[in-house]
Amino acid sequence: MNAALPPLIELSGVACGYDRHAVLADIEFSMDKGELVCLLGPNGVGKTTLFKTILRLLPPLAGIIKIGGENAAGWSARRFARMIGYVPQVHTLPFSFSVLDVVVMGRVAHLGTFAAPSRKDRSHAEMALEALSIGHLRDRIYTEISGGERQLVLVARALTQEPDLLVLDEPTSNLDYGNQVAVLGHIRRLASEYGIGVIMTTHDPNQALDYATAVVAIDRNRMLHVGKPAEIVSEAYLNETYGVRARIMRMKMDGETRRFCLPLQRGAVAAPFKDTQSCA
Amino acid sequence: MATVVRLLSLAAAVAGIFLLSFWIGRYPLHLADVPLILLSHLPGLSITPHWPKVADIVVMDVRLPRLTAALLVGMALSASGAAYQGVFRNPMVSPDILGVAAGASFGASLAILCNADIVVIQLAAFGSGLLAVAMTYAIVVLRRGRSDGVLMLVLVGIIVDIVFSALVALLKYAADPDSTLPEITFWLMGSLASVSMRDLTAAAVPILIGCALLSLLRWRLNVLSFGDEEAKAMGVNVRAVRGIVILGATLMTSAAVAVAGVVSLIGLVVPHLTRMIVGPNHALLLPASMLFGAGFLLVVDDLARTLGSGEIPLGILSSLIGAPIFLYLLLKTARAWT
Repeated sequence: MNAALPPLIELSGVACGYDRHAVLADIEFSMDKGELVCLLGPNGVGKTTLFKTILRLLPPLAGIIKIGGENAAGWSARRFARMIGYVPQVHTLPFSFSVLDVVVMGRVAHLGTFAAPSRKDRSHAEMALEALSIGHLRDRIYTEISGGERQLVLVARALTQEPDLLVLDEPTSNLDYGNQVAVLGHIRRLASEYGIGVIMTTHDPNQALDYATAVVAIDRNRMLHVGKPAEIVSEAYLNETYGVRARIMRMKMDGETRRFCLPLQRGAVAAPFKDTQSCA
Repeated sequence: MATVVRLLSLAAAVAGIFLLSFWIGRYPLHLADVPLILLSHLPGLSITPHWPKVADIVVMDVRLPRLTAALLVGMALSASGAAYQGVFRNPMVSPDILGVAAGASFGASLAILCNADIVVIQLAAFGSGLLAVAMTYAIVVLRRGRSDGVLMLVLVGIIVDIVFSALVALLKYAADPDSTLPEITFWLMGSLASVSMRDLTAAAVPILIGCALLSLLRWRLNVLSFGDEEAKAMGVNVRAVRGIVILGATLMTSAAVAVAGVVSLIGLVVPHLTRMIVGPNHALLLPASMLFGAGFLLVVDDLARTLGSGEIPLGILSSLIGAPIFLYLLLKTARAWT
């Protein structure tokens, strides 16, 4: 990375939470284009809160969020959407839009207030579908395709925003194993080939170990740990945070060391921690 | 291109129904006379009238305002229904959702109770329709908190609707059972029988303004169906778009109710039916709903003035026709909702 270039996104001294009640505080984090960052943490520690703060759906309670070296607080929704694309969890819609209709809507940040998408916007959408190898779904109805396909359609929609940063909310939840691998493969390619920065939340430490270039892990005490996957997702972290005794395994493949974790206990697990939110 | 052709053929069909409707009614008109009478009133055309004077009056002062009113009201209710269904992300929403019909009914009933002139009745209906929606919207916007905006709008709308409906009932209770009570009751049943050209010009202004606002934002309505957070993250100023759409739809519905009384179900059934034919993309759905609605109300009004020996109130007939259509749609698409 060019040292003169400011980081793609930089959080300094950020506190986030609801209604002036801070859930997480003193967050320091930055990342560059082409990186794939996994946001890891148990339910209820503020993962979603941080996620929504980055997306500006919640105002930060303290600190500054800079995008491309510029404080993004005063940006219009339009300008923000051209920099950051949001990929929600697979959902269903009240209306049966076609896949192309859904993907074209990603162009809204590039269109005037009263404008409708042009042929150029539609070809943008088609390119995004092709980039994720789902061009054949173009005329299908969004509500009638499979969960994995819908997730990729939502990624395609975010891509038509032409963002520098893609923020994904548990992109593999509710997907079968084959679709999980397919979706993750596409996401990794967007970072490594297209140079897009990616932040994704996940519940699977294996995804962080095998796909991420950096990991942000939130522990039970709401402390953030930022670093390389191999450093952060350790046996100690899994034990302390999830109460799971696990072994991190290493495997050499094509000259590359890949890591994955395996829980050791196979019988009944000591009761998992309660959600901290319900305790609070 | 294909969509333009579809809309134009739909518009041509509506224009056909509009013209054919001139022949329907108590006073028989000669087939060729209607276009000639209409043309003879255009400036710059000198057509020597060979028809009786009463034919001219029937066409110009009775049927033209009435048919134009049916056109405008049908268009207004269907367009605002389609827009509300988009804004509230729910195909089961009708234009009454924020209390506009109950509000307008209250204003009209109050004016009738005070023996007001028809102009005052219409103004009161229009004004209090706007007031009811303004109350709903203000309560939601001024409240602090972070719960879902759409859900709060619907819930507050229900409450405002209940209050105004109760006030209408109170006015009916207080009304004179020999004079004002029947008048209120008939007004609430809806009719286009006494529409004059003057009423129509007054109502056309808010309807056309609302129509323009909705038409300009129609593609953006699609983005709102993903929900507030996603729409916001996609770069849409959700509150502004929703506010303008609600304003436009309310102007249209209030004016429509002021002219025609309460004509229910059109705003629910027509957008739903149109969506089944042209799909959910509001860029096409909204103009198509306007045309379908205009044609639908023209036909219903034709039936209203020919079926019985007297006039059948429009609200009753549109419900009796709309309900079976709606039930059919419901049974046909029930699978999609399970």
